Amino acid sequence: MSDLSEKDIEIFIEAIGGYFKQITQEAASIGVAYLAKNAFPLNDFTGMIRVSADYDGALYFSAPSAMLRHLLTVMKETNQSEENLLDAVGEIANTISGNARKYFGENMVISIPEKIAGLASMLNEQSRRHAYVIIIKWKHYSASLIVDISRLR
Amino acid sequence: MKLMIVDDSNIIRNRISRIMADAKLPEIEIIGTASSGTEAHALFQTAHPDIVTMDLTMPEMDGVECTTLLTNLDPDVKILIISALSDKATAIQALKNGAAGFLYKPFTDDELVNALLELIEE
Amino acid sequence: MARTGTPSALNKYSGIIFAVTLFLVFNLAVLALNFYTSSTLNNDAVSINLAGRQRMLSQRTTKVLLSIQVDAAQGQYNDKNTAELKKVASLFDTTLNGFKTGGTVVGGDEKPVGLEKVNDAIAVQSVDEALRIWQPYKKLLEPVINSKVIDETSLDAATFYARENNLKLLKLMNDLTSQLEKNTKAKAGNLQLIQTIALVLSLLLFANIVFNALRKLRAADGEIEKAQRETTEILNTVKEGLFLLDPQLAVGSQFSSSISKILQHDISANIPFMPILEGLVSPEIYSSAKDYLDLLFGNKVKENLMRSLNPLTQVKVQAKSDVAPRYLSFQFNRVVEEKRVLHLLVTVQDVTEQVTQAEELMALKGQSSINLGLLSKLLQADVFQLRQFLNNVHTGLEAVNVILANADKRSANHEDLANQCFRIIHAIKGEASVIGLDAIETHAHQFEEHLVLLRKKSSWDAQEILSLPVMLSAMLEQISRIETIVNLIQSHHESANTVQQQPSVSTRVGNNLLRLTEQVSKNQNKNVQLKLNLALLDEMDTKTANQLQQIGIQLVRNGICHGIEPTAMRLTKGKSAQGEISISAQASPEGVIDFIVRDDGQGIVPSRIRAAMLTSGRYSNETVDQLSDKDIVNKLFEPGFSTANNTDKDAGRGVGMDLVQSLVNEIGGELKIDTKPDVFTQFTFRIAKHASPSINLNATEAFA
Repeated sequence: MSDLSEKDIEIFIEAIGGYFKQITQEAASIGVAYLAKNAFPLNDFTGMIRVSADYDGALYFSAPSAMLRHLLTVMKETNQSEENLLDAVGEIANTISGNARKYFGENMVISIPEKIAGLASMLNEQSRRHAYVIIIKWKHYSASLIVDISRLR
Repeated sequence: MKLMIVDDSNIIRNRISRIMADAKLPEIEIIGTASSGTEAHALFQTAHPDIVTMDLTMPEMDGVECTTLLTNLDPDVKILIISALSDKATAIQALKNGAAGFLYKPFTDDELVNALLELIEE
Repeated sequence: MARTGTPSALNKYSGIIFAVTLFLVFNLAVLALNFYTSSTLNNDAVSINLAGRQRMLSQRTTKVLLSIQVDAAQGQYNDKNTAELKKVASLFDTTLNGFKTGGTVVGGDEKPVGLEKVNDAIAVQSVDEALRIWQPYKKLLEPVINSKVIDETSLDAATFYARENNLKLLKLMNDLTSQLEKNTKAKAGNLQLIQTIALVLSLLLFANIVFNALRKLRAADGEIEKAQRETTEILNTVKEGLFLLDPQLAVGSQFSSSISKILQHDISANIPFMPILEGLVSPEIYSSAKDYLDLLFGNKVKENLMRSLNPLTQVKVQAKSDVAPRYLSFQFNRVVEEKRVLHLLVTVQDVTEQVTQAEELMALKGQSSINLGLLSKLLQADVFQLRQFLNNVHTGLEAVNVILANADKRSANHEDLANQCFRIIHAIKGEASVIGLDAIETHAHQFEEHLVLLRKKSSWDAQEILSLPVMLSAMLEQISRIETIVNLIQSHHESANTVQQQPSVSTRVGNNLLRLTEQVSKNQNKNVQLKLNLALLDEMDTKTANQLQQIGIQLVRNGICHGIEPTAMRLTKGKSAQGEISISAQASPEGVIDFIVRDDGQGIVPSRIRAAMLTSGRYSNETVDQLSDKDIVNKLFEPGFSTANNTDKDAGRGVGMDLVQSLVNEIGGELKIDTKPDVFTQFTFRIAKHASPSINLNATEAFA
């Protein structure tokens, strides 16, 4: 079992940046990055992707609803129902992990996103002793990316 | 060429439509979207599309089943599977059942356009 | 081996084609020459025959003339003779003129034959001479021929002339014949020579062609043979399994010998492949592989996509004869002709070693810091001290994490952030080096180096921001692994009832500082003795004692690196060879505690610091000039200030004094510096009175 490198984690961040850049012409940037054990900065809507095979754990993208609404508006999606907000957060998580898979290779198997509305600040299960928390900034919103992935092989 | 979009996600359907509208390909014209396999089956019989983008994970009827159904109706239809499922067995299964191409989700605009162009080129 | 196409074939055979062409041209030329030769020799033969006939004709003319004369003398007239004379004379005449001018004459078989005029000087002379004699002779003969009766006058004149010139004429014709023969012989000789040469040349050319052709053929045969041998050799020796698969999924006739071993199945030509595969892989993989191979032969799906879908890359296999599972990697390449897939070229590699090695390497990488050296250090170390150290590290790293998490909430700039982290990591590094945990010391050192890099940057990019929690996480992982080991050691001690007696705080701190002194002076190549008087530490709470130890660590390190001179220099200054550093905790009668670190080194000399600042290249003349001596000394306490030219683990980061100052602030109190150039430097930390409640007369271990 070993750690991810900053390059590994950067891949996820690049993917988010790329997603926002592609959809909204405005890239998302990284605010701060730290380690977390229990308290996670989760927001209104969270998309979770589980990874398996040579990796274990999950990746969370959690965003406030205002941010998602803004995103949908930019996408010219007028239907901003909770269903569509979840759809959006799932799509982002999906994009992140999908792009990351190109880098990590076939040995990272990625699940379909699980979409969660309103989440406690505790993760049900934590793979790593310390998960990486990266605060992502887009416009004036802050979303969080939680990388709780360890490399098994 | 007539294109039909099959995906259970609103956002994806809208996105594909938007990408195709932006790409302004004269040879491809969207004739309809379906949010389930059953809907796709019905629409296929009335609109007779030449190309289809097909999501794999859908409730009721999954993409592979729907692909089999559509290729049985028209062996010449070109189906592009668009899926986040990255396991090879699923992709092989879909291709075996008549799909002509496979595009991993998430995809960029260009990737989608290129995949569709490659599909008609053959 | 590449097949030769038409252009290269032309190229390859150009030599031989050229030689054959030359040979044909040459032989045609020789043939033409032969034609020419034989035709000229034919002509020559005609000439020689006719010249010979002239001899005969001349004699016959004379003979017939004489016969006529004999007849005439008897009064007889034979018109047969007259006719013959006419014939032979006329024949002789036309032939002789023919020799002179060329033309058609009557040949031996009474048929007209072409006669060439003579060219050779001697022959021409003979012909001319003969004509000169013949012309009057002919004139004299004409009346004889034309007379139908005996004309003795003409006859006598002719006979007389004939007798007179007959032999001359014969000789001339004889000469002509000989000359013509001689000429022809010479010509024939020349022609024969030319023919012989041509024949030899042509033979040589032929030999050359044959030789070259044979050589090329032999070379080509050799190449084919070599290629075949090489193919066989490759197939016999190649580690990878190679074989062709036909559309019926049967193995082709050519396959590498290693394939049987790799697949753990005897392979022969035309053996069906799928049953073999079925015996190796899981049913799911088998069914995917079957579909996959069908798709490959279908040739509908693009190669790239197909390659990415190959279900048999690094596939886990276990044949009946396999003791342990192995990993095989199959690679399939389509052999396409006219859009039809004829075969699949299959490459199989046994990647078990790579896979297991990668797994082992990963496992090893995960525990890279737990090596034997570290383990032996851990076994030797005092468990209580280790626990305390690990606690300190945890606290420190958590503090770093808090700094990171709040990085953007504060107005603090990146430099401050880096400095804050730096102090904490530096303290960890100091403690690690004291306990002798090189692995952690190295790790902390790397962290420091990284922070120094980041400190210089005005803004950090994503990777730089990320690098901090990543390094933090790596250190935490390392610490937690050490914790696991420490727990094991402790439980071992407990079960063996060999629980170590906890040493006193002063002893522990003293031992740590002694170890540090030994280590740093060895690194710095200096001779230093450490004197200790720390008994008072036993009466303080552990936190303060630890903080004082931290201060001690930094000051001892500084003392050795910057204070104590190298032995040679000390001797020239008239000092003892061995430098001395003393650390003491002393209580004044008023109950105030002084923590004193003193070295007998070169002292803090502002002018030397100025000079060092300038040579370090990090400060300008102006900056240095503007500072007062006091400012200069205060510089020592600024984060990042260092005069060391190169940085190593011991000094040069310029954090030591900054850390001392912050520890002094934490404990509370005053720090005083006394120094005399070339004599001593003394740091006196007078612990503030309000801090004295921390003195605990009955301190016990407070760490769990």
